[in-house]
Amino acid sequence: MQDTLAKVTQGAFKLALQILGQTADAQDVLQDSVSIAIVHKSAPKSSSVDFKPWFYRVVRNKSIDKLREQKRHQSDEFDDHVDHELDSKLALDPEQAAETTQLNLKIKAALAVLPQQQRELVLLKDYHQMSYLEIAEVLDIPKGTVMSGLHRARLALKTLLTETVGD
Amino acid sequence: MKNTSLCEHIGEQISGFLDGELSQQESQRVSVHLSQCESCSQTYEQLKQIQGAVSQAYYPNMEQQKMNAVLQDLTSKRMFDFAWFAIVSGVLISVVFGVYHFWLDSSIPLYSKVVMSLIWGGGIGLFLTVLRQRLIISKTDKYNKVDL
Repeated sequence: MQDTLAKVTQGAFKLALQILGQTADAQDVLQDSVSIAIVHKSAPKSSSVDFKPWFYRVVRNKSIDKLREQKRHQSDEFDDHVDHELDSKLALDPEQAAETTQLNLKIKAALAVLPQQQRELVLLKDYHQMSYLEIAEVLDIPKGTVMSGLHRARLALKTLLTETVGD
Repeated sequence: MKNTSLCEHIGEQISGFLDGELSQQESQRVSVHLSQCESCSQTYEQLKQIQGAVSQAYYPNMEQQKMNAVLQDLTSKRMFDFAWFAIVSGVLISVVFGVYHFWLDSSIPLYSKVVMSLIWGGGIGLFLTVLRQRLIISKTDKYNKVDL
């Protein structure tokens, strides 16, 4: 049970990181969100299946609040991650690492260009593996609009990626 | 085969199909269309590739030490809930058990059983009414988050 909870909180941390781009900010948001989970009367129990979308929603809203608060660019931290990641992967298999990292970079760059909600849709589905129902809950949108929004986001991502390949 | 109106109609369902979120009927229809339409099936393959790449994207974990500290807060809340549950259920069980034995005890005369039940029942009733009022106030009081 502890493992499942750890997975949810790690996932939520990454969502905050994906929105905010800065590790320290994402940690702050996670800490705040846990405090909310503890004191909020309508919070689902951390052991229930409803906890994950509820907690993601809190983390997402907190991250956006923070983002609005700061309105600053994240490019520096982005580069830090890449360097760090490159180092750790090079140790395993240099050739494969270079390829994976390049694709990873491209995907991240393309995601960064997408409008906020499209980026969230793609990440919640494809990275966090959430169902449409859970995504609707996290983003506070009707379930019926998840599929169309997600499809539009993917098509936009596809165009961005083909453009980069074409360069 | 090019079938634009059908392609448009299928549109976003390609994503639904990819995510396994369609009904069996819808998913069958998309599957048939993909096998017949080159352009849609190409889109499907590309979206599938992108999905794979996004799922493999690398984002670092939160430092284990910090995460543990955070998790401890959450687990202690669970302990807190559990402790409350244990206390309340323990009290309930003992009350039910006590009442049951009190009424079955033949050494106590009937009138004292009735009188004791009235006093205790009234007391518990009063307590529950006040408790209910307090709970309602604590939920609807818009000033309850104001620190004095």
